[in-house]
Amino acid sequence: MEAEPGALYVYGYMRAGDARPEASGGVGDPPGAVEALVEGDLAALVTPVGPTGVAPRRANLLAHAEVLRQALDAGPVLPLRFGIAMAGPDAVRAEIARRTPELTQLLDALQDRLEMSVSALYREEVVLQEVLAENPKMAQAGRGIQGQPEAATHFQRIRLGELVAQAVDAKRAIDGGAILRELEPHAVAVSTDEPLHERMVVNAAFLVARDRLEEFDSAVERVSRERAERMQFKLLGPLPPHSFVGAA
Amino acid sequence: MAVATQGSTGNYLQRGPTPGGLAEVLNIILDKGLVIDIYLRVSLVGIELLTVDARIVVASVDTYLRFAEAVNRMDLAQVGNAKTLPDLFSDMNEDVAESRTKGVITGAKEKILGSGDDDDDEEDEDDAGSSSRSRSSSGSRSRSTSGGSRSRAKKS
Repeated sequence: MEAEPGALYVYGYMRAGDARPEASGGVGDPPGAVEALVEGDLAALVTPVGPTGVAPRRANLLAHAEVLRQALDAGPVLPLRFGIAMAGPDAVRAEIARRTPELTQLLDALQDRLEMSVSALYREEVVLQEVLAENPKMAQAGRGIQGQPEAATHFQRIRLGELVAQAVDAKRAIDGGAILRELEPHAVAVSTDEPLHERMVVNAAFLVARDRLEEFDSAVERVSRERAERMQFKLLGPLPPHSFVGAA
Repeated sequence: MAVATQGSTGNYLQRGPTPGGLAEVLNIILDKGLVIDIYLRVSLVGIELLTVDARIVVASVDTYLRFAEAVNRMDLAQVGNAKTLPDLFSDMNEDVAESRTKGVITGAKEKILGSGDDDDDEEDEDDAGSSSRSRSSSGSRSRSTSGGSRSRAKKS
């Protein structure tokens, strides 16, 4: 891939006083340096795009997330979407200058507020046991495919799978809603995502005040413990507020 | 500052300070964050496709077949009889969330790692081409078993 000379990969914006350069750890192969490009009271975290460009690869996705997460230790951060590069320093400065009021306001609003990512998966055996016990016809259809060659039962499998998926969807609506209702009071805001997996019960990002992180953690601990037999939870964070910077 | 430190509580809550795998990092950052006007952007080949096609479509033939296969593996004589099921829980200690997500995210991986056949007609993409070759077998397998998954409609 042909990279434009002088192009800068942009991770996000922060206050100029908080922004710190890093010798490595950025996008690119080998991982590039992270520079703080200052314009007025704000700064962009950038890495020069090397001749091989910035491919949409696992290492670059992780670098994007990790650069922003480390920057968060110094102060509020406004993440950009993954994969944005601008023509050069002048272009980045002009963009910051143009949006300074909006960016400053966002940084103030996100001061001491962090993103916590909560997801839960149904345990496969358990949720299928529930679905089949509640729907004898599906259990019967399941017996119908057992011991049969896969090719011979292809369409029966699709139909059965679709019915199971619908039953799991109905459970997801109930269980996911209950989880969100229990956690919302401990957060400033919540942003829900589509499930990433057919057994995912809930996939949500919560914006949590720094001084309530422990309270939020305890709430997730309680909510997950109460559902331990049916679900497995994952809690990631504190993260930069990827889900709360108002991407249009 | 981290309150949620690495570790797990029993086997029902796994904590981490940061996304570890591809599925997690995609979930955290994909389609999220500030954007800039398109005319200010320098094109990074392939990245634009990410926002379009990397989300997993849960309502798909692939999903239905996975559910059906899971049912196929079950001991249906035991359905509804919870007391005879302890063996079903034996694999709970594995990292279910991570391992299960891996299979589902194949579609996104094909896009991200550049092994897809519909987004790359450049012959000089040596780096992406060679490193994705090892994944192309799983990619083609999922294509062949999924029938019409390529044309599956987004349903939300």
